[in-house]
Amino acid sequence: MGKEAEIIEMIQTILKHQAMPENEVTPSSELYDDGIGLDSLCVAELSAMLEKTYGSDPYTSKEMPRTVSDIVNFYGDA
Amino acid sequence: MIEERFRDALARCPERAFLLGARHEHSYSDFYQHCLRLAGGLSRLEGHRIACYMADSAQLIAIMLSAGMSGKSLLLLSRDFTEQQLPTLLQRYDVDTLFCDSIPRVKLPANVLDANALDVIAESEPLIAPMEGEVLLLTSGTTGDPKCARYSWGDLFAQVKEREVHEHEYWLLAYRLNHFAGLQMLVHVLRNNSTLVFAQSNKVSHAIEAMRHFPVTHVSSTPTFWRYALATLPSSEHGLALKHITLGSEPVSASLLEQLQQAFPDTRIVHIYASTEAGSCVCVSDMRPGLPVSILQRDDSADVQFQIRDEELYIRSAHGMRDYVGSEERADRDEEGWMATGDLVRIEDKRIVFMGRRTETINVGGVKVHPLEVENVISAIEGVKLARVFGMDNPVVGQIVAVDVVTHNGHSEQAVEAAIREACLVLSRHARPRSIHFVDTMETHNFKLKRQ
Repeated sequence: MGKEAEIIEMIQTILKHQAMPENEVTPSSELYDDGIGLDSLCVAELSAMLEKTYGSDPYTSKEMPRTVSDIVNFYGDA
Repeated sequence: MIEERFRDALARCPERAFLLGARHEHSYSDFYQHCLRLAGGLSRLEGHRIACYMADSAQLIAIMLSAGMSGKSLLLLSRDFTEQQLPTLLQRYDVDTLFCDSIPRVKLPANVLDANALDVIAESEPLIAPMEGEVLLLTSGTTGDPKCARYSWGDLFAQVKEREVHEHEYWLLAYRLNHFAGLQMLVHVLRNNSTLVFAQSNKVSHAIEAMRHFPVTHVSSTPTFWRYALATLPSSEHGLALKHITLGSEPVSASLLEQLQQAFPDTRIVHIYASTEAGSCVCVSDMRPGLPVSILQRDDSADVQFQIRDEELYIRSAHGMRDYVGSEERADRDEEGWMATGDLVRIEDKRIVFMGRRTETINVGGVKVHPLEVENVISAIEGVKLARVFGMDNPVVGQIVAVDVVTHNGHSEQAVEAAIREACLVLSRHARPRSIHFVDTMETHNFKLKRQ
């Protein structure tokens, strides 16, 4: 599975943990209020998952990712 | 006190075993004679303070009791300290003589004696000092330097109840003697003319082996010890004839009390609240976790009183430690003698319920989460052997709730994780674990989960 697919699966897992509707998540999906609807606790969980899986976390960088693609790009195209 | 208790045992049951283990058996009568001669030798040593740096053993107990009888001040050093730490500790606490079971390779600022050759200093002329010595215990000190609590033997004995009926009890030593609970175990056994049983090591499997091999009737240990033990023992026909179990040093959960009652239906099970500083404070026998609120009503005539201030439990104890050695602070007590315990509590259903240590509170986006509340939910899940909840640093909300889990054999991690998430839906969103990590084993210290 490529990184993009893995990251989309992580987000879907978090939505499931929250019993939130599993809307379609695409690379261009906005992560927060107007998009998928992740709140700060969900984002915190995503950040911990990313750190655990890839050893680094885009939420520690200056610019906060806004879309799924922003996260994928943080890790490069691998 | 020590002398008096030995004399009492000698009058009642001189040949009864005081200490019992795979490698030794000492009757009250023999051990008393040994301690008397040793006290004579110790009293002739130069200086006031002696320290012990050795594994739990009959030798250690002989030095401890004879130090008390000879009026010497006794510092108990855990073997967890490295040899390199010894010079600083001996200097800081002004130790004149150090007893070791193996001679350290570092140069030490004290007279060093081999605890395996006590006969060298034992005197044929026994001696009892008019004033008993004191005992110095180092707190576990999870953060920063440990503190050194000073106790009188008199206060240690005053904390122990003398049984009205002197049945012969066999207590397993499941705490280390440099730990307050271990020291109290020794005092309890001596006061009630009971027998103290040694396991081969401080492994849970050796403790269980000792319970089976010797006629152990009473065990005092931590909830973590019993979680391990219950996972090892067959659910029935475990062959242990225990009359009494005391749980201490960690808060106990309802699920553990239930499991113990199932495994030991005829055993009296109690839990106690104690600390190195305040000593033994209350014993609860109604098979419910937490403490009854009625203890908050205790008046000045009680040895131990309780208060709750700003969610924290405070204690005033008549027989707690005297002070911290080498510290200007008067034992972190206020003018009226109240001591903050560091334990956060709330009242729920006429019960004082523990939420965790003040220092372990997790701050999730400004919301305080108490790890113990989460841990109690997770520990009750079938398939969970051990759970440790802690705060994990997080760039988004400061900290998130994280949990390390050890599963019972035969339970899949996937199923247990799903069960944890489901069970934690009863908690507020901030308190639900955001990171669940499965581990093979968990680090413990004195059978307590290491929390930092």
